[in-house]
Amino acid sequence: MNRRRFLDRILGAGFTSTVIAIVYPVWRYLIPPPSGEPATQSVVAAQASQVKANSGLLFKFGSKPGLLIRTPEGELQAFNAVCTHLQCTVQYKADTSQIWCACHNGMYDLHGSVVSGPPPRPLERLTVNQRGQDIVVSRT
Amino acid sequence: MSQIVDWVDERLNLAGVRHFMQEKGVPIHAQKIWYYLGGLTLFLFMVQVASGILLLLYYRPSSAEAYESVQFIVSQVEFGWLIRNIHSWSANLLILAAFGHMFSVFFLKGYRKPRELTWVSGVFLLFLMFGFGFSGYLLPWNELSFFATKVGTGMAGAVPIVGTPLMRFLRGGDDVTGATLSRFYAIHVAILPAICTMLVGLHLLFVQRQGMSIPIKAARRQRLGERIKQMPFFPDYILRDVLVWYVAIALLAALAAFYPWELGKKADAFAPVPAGIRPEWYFLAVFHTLKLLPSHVLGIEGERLGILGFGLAAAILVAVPFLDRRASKDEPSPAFTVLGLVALLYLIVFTIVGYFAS
Amino acid sequence: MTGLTATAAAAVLGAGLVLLSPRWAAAQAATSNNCATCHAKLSDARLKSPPQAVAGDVHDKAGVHCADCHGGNPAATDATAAHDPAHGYRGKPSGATICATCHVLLADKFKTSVHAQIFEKACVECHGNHGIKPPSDALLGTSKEALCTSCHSEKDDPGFTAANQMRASIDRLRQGIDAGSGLIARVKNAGIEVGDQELALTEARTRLVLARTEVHAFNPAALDVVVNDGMKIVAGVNQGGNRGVAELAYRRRGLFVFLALTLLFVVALVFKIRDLDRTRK
Repeated sequence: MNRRRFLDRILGAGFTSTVIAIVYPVWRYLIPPPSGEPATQSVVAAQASQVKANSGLLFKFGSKPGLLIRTPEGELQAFNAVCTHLQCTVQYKADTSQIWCACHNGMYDLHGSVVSGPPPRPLERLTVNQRGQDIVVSRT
Repeated sequence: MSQIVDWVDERLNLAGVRHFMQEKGVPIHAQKIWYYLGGLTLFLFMVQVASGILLLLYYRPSSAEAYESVQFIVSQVEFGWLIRNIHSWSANLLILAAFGHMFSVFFLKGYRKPRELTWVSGVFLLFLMFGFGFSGYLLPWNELSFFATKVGTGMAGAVPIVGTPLMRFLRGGDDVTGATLSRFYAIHVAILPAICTMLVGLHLLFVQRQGMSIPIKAARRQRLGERIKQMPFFPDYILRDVLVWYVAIALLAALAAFYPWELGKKADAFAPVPAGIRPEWYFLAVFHTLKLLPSHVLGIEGERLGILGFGLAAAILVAVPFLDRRASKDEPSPAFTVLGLVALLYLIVFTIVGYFAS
Repeated sequence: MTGLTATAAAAVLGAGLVLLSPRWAAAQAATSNNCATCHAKLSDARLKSPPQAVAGDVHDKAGVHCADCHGGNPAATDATAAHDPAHGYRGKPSGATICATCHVLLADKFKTSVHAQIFEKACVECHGNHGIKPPSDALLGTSKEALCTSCHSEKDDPGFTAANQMRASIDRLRQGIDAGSGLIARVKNAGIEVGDQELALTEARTRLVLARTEVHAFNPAALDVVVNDGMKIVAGVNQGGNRGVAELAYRRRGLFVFLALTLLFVVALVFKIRDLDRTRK
C-alpha cells in the first residue's frame, strides 16, 4: 500500500517542519539581545571628562534629545533639550553661559528658566548623577 | 519507540491508559461539529501559557519599566513582536472560542444532568478568562489600558456594600498606580493561572468521567434502544482536533504578522484622558449598558443597579443546569433556548453599538 | 493654626515663584488693563478698534498687551495719567523697532533683506499690528492667501519667482518631514525600533522652524541651505524607515513559508482522516 506510506511521509514531514517553524522563533527569542536590557528612564549621557566647564552636549534620551551642561562653576545640569516654544532642539551658548534656542532666539538660564524670547515655560529638568566616570541622567 | 513504552509499562503499568485510549469515543450526530470548540479553547489556553511564559523572560512589572520592557520585547528581542502579538491575538481568539463553546453547550443543553458540575466549572473558567483579559490589558502600561483600568476598577466601586473596599483592593490603593500594576501582574501570572489550571483539570476530568454529552433528541432515540454511533477518540477524533488547531495557528500567525497589536503611548497619570477609551471588546456590551443606564432608577444609582443586574445574570448563568428542570429529564426546554438567543442577541448588538458609540 | 500658617507660607512662596516669571508680569497687567475699557467709549474708529482687534490674537494669548508696545499706565483710570510719558508712554511705536524687542532673530534676518529698505512699517506690512493671526506657510508664495502677490503680482517679476521658490522650499521640507513621520509611525507600530529616526525627525522639525525664520531674510539661496540641511536629515530618516519596511517584508515572507508548510500538513491530514474513515467502514 504505497499511497498510505506516501501520505504518512508527507504527514511526518509536514509535522516536523511546522514544529521547526514554531521552535525556531522561540529559540531565537530566548537568545539575549545585544542591547541587554530595556532602556528605561535613565541613560549614560557622557563620560565626565567629555564635558568641560562652561560647555554642553546633546545626548539621546529615549526618542528625544537631552542637553547635558557643565556650568562655569563646574556644576552638572541636564534638561530635556526640547524648546517649549516650537519644540526645536536647544543648545548651550558658551559666550553668555545660557541655553539658547536658535529658532527664535529663546534664552534659558542655567536652571532652565526662561530669560527672554518666546518660550512660554521653563525647560523640563532631568536628574544628573555621577557614577565613576559615567554621567547618568534620569527622569526626575 | 516500543522499547521505551515497554520500559515505562513495566514500571508504571500502562494498562489503564491503554484501555482508556482504546475505549474513549466521541458520539457521532448532526451537531458534533460543536465539540471542536472545547478542544480549540483548550489549545488556545496552552498557547497563552506558552507565549505568556516567554513574555515573562523580558517583562518588568513596574510603572517605570513596564512600557519600556514591552517596547524592548517587540523591538529588540528577536521574534519578540511575534510572541507578543501571538499572546494578544490568542487571548482574543480564546475568549471568542470560550464564548462559542459555552453557547453551543447551552443550546445543545449539554449541561443537563449529570453534567451540571462540568457546566459550573466551565462558567467559572469563562469568568477567569475575563479576569485574565482585564488584568493582562493593563500590563503594557500604555495610555489606553491605564485609563480603561481606571474606568473598569471604578465600576467595581459601584458594587453595593463591598464596592469601595473592592475597588481599593483591586487598585492596591485609592487610585490606579504602579501598585495596581504589581497587583494585576501577580493576579495575571500567578493567582489566576493557579486557579485556572486546577479548574481546567477538573473540567477535563468531568468530561472524561462522563463522556461527551449528546443532544436531547439523540438521547431520547438512544433510550428507545437505538445505538448512537461512536468514533474512536484515538486517533480518529484527535486528528480532527489537530486539524482545527493547525488552522488556529495559521490564523494566529497571519493576524500577528498583518495586524500587530499597537503599543500606543506610555501611561501618564497626569495626562488628560484620551478620546475613545474603551475596554476590550468582550467587556464592551457590559460597558455600554452601564453607560446607557440613567443616573438614577427608582432612587438607586443607575450604575449600581446595572452592576447588580450583571451579578444576577452571572449567578443565573452558573445555576442554569439547576434551573432547567425539563432538560434534566431529557425533555426539550424551548424557554431556555429563547433565553439564550435573547442573551446572545443582546451581547452581539451591544458589543457592536458600544464599539461604534465611542 | 500651623496648617493655616503653612498654607499661607506656601501661598506666599508660590506667588513669589510666579512673580519671577516674565509671563506672569504681563498677565498681571492684563487683569488691570483699563485701556480697552476707555478706548471702547471713544468715537474715533482709529482709537476704538485696536483693543477689539487685539482681543484673542496671538499677542493677547501670549500675555502681551497694549502697554507692552505703547507704554503708559494701563492701571490708570484717567486719560492723562494713562498716557503719561513719565510712565513710558510712547504713542505709536515704530514697527521696525518695537517688534524686535521680543522677535530679535526675526528682526535681524529682516534687516539683511531688500525689504528692510522698502517696507516703511517693517513687520507690520505683512503681519499687521492689531489682531495678528498665527503666521502660516500660506502667507508665503503666490497663491490666493499669500501676501507676496500684493506687490509681486507679475509673473516676470523676480520677486514673484523668489516667492514661489521660497514657498516650494518650505513645502518640500514640510512634506518630507510629514512623509518621513508617516513612514516611521507605520514601521514603529509594527514593532520595529525607530528611536534614532524619531530623534532625527525632531532635528528635522527644528530645521523647518529655522527655515521659517530664515524666510524673513527673503533670500531664496540662504533659505535653501537651511532646507537642504533638513532634507538631508529627512533622507536619513527615510533610509531607516525603508530598512524597517524591508524587515516587515521579511516577516511576511516568513509567514508565507510557515503558512505553506501548515497547508501541506493540513491537506495531508485531511487525506489521512479520509483514509482512516474508509478503513473503519
